[in-house]
Amino acid sequence: MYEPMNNRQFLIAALGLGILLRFALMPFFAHVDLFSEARRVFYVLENDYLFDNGHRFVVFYIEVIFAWFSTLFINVTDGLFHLNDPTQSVSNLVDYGFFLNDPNIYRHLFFFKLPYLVFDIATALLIWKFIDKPEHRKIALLIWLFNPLTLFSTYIFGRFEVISLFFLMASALQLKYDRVFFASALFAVALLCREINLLYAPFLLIALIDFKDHWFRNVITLSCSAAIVAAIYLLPNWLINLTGGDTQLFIDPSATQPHNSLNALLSLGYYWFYPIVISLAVLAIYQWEIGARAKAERFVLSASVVLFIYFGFNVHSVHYAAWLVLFPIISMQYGKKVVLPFMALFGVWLVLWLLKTDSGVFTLFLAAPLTTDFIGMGYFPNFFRQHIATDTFTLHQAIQLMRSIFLVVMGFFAYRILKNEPDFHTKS
Amino acid sequence: MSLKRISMELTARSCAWVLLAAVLSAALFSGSSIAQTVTNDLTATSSDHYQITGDDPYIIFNPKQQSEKARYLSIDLGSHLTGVPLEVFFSSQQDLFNPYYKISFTVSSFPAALQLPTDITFTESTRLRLDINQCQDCSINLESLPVLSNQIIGSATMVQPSRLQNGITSLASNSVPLNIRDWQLNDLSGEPNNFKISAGDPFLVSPQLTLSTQQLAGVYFKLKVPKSDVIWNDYQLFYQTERHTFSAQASSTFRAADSANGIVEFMFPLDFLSKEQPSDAVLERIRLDIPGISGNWALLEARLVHQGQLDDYLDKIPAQLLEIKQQRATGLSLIKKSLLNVFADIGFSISYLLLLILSACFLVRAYRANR
Repeated sequence: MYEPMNNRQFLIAALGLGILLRFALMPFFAHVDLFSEARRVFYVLENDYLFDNGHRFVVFYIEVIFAWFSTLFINVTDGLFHLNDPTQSVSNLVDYGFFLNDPNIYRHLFFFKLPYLVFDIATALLIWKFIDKPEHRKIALLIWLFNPLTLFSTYIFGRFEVISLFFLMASALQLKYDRVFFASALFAVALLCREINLLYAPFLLIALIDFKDHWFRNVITLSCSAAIVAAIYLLPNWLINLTGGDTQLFIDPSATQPHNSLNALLSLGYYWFYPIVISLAVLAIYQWEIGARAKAERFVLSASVVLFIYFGFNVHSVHYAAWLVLFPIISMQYGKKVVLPFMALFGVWLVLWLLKTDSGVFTLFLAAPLTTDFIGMGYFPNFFRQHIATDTFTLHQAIQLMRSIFLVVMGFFAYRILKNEPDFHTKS
Repeated sequence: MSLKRISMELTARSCAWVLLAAVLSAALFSGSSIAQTVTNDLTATSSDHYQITGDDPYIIFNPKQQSEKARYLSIDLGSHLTGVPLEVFFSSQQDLFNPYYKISFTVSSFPAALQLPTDITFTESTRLRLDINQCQDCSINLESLPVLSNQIIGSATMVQPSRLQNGITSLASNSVPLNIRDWQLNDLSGEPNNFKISAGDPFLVSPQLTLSTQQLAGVYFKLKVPKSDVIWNDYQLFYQTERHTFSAQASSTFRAADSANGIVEFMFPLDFLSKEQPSDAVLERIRLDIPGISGNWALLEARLVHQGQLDDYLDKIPAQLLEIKQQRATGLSLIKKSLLNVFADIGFSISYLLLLILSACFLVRAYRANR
């Protein structure tokens, strides 16, 4: 006789299948960035520079701990991870080629991705805990575990985005239980994983305001929270400097990009900068206006829309889209209907990045340990030029079209998140 | 039915068959002169004008023949192909032209008379293949078919082959040493057996090899190397075949640790040239790029290794070897390669499988326990 699954069985089945799928992907896919990161980690371990690297501090130490653990199981081939100069730690294709040709390549890839698996599954559990309604939490869990963005970024591309997302998730959960200072501390830890999280900071602070409370108590709460975030964010670099460490261990001194980027940013050098700033300001006003709702709801909704604004006007690397997944998923706690926008996002993301790709994304090096032509079409943009493009519909036009559709999908997502769902409002 | 009637019917049927055969033959032979010219990656824009439209343009044709022992191939392709590298393949079986038999040449003006080797005999059914290389935008005027003759016809300019390949060297069962003295040096001062780096792109190029890749296992090198400032140094082997010249897409790189005794020995495998697709039939030259270590270098030994001797050289194949191939392993070769990857780390492969099985069992067990 058919027996429906209970909640616990659903959790076990979903997590189990999600983990098996991740195991199946882990050893066979790679991107050159994963190897570059592994070289930095092994460099630190080999030379005992444990208190030097100040860049993405939390992610790096998590990776160092896991790498140390993995040395119990992997025998590193001589010279494979050797770095002549730590400031030139981004691998070239020759070094990466040696890595891919190593007899232990599958073993390396499996162990390098282990920390991501742990934080990915931990995030799934926190999502389960965050959402109260059983039918919503089931859908949310399925989206998190089986969405192509997270799977690609983490287990195919091999990047650490889920660690940052885990701390953001933990921060939102603390906010749900009104633990303001814990939420601030965890948010600061997330900042130490990915600088982009700084975009959320103003919205976290606005969300901490209790509009029914006395203004003085609000000032105290906000000041303390800001102090916690600032202290945790700045403390590691300060300590490293104090103990004589080198926070610039892996920074290329000849790279002038950050300085130039800042100048360009403020002088309209980037077309997307001012539209994003203006849109974020409008969002902040909206967040102020919904001040009667609970802190967590205000933070989660704003954080969702922050990234829709960011990605609507701006395109970065393919795996950054993984940032888009978390907050819209947990907005289901507040009755937001996000399944259809998610489907649209997955489709448009795939097509956009098939067109606007480089050799490392969907084509030549996707599964380089297995074959350098995984989809059998070679470099897809060339395939598009030869077989699909016409004189009036070139590759460039196709990319622009897909970027426009991407913006539309972001707008659709924002509409679904901001749409009033009165039955689900949580009170402050 | 009477015998006479049967006989009349048979006669009528026979006549019909004969008539049909005659019509078909006429149709077949009337088109033969056109069908004799086959083109690839060339599009006819008029009856005698072709435009190159792909990466591998060639024409297969049946030349007009004035003599069996022809000395010249008279050819007129129009002004667009002057200065363009051309090749004539002259030995084929059912239009599968053998890369071991070809004449490479460049023409300064058409009509031209290409000088042919004296020991080739042509028959009436001889078909030749003309390849046009390194020209994407060229077009061809083929007003008349090329002519095999004993003398230069009309005002044609005589053209000497830049290279003639009339057969090929096959590797014997033993490895073959390459004469060190014949190697050319680039950005290196001195002789191959004693040289120093003089500029930023140091490499050594072998003499012309023209070797069949059929039994080739690889190339072995032994070098005297000066002390290096860094631990790891890269050596890169480029191989030129009938399909391509030296390019990074056809090279292998070996990463060597700084040698304690100053001697570095290694073998670059090249067995894939004949085994994988698209295969390369002829190894024409090899080039060894060396790291920029200052001091006294020497190429002590270079050797072509036969596949039968592979076992003797296995320990010389570097652990850290990066092969960038123009070939692809397909079918059984690909399966074999994938399995080799699995068996290369059998400990992990078994543990990984066990992990998958145990995880699945644990999932089922936990699921049942929570009913």
